[in-house]
Amino acid sequence: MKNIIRKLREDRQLTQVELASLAGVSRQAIIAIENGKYDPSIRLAFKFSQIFGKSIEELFVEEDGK
Amino acid sequence: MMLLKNRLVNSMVVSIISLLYGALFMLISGHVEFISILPKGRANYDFWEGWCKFLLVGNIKYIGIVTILIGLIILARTILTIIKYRRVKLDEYEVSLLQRGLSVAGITAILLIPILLILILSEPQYAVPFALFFVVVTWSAFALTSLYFVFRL
Repeated sequence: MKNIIRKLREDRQLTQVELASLAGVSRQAIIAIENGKYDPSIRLAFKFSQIFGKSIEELFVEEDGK
Repeated sequence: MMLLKNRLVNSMVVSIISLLYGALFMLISGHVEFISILPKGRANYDFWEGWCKFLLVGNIKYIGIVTILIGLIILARTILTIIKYRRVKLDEYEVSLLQRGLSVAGITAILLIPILLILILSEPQYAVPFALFFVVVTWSAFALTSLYFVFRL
């Protein structure tokens, strides 16, 4: 699953540590999500949606054929 | 699942089992009764004879010491992490990694059981060294994975 978390985080000039703190997860979790290595749960996706003021569909996009 | 999320519970379980294994290895090292049940004949493969000699001279105590040290390092590192980051609970990403690690360890242990059985059936007199090797390999792999996990997260 693709996501625009890194872009939004950089646009808002947040560090990975700061975003991790806002979302209540570890920095490693943020790194894994930004690199597409881990797909967050609906609960965490909802938290990102609240932090960035965007819908979950805008943040996460299903890749074709996956 | 709730216990799996707790960093301290995870580390304590691994540490306590490591301490038990370590103490057991140190206890049997050089123990007369343990030495008396080890086979004296030749094995089909040199590796098993070497392993048996390793046990006979009591070198398993070193494995015991290392096992205890790994257990203590895991516990110490976890306590430091909790003090430093004030995070006792693992997040969902960390739990997913832990679940993956446990799955691999479980599947590996399950796959090793028939291999152990075949080895025992092929050389019954070497049953004790085989079983001990199985315990050392499975627990060492698990403890080292846990060690990696506590330093990584």
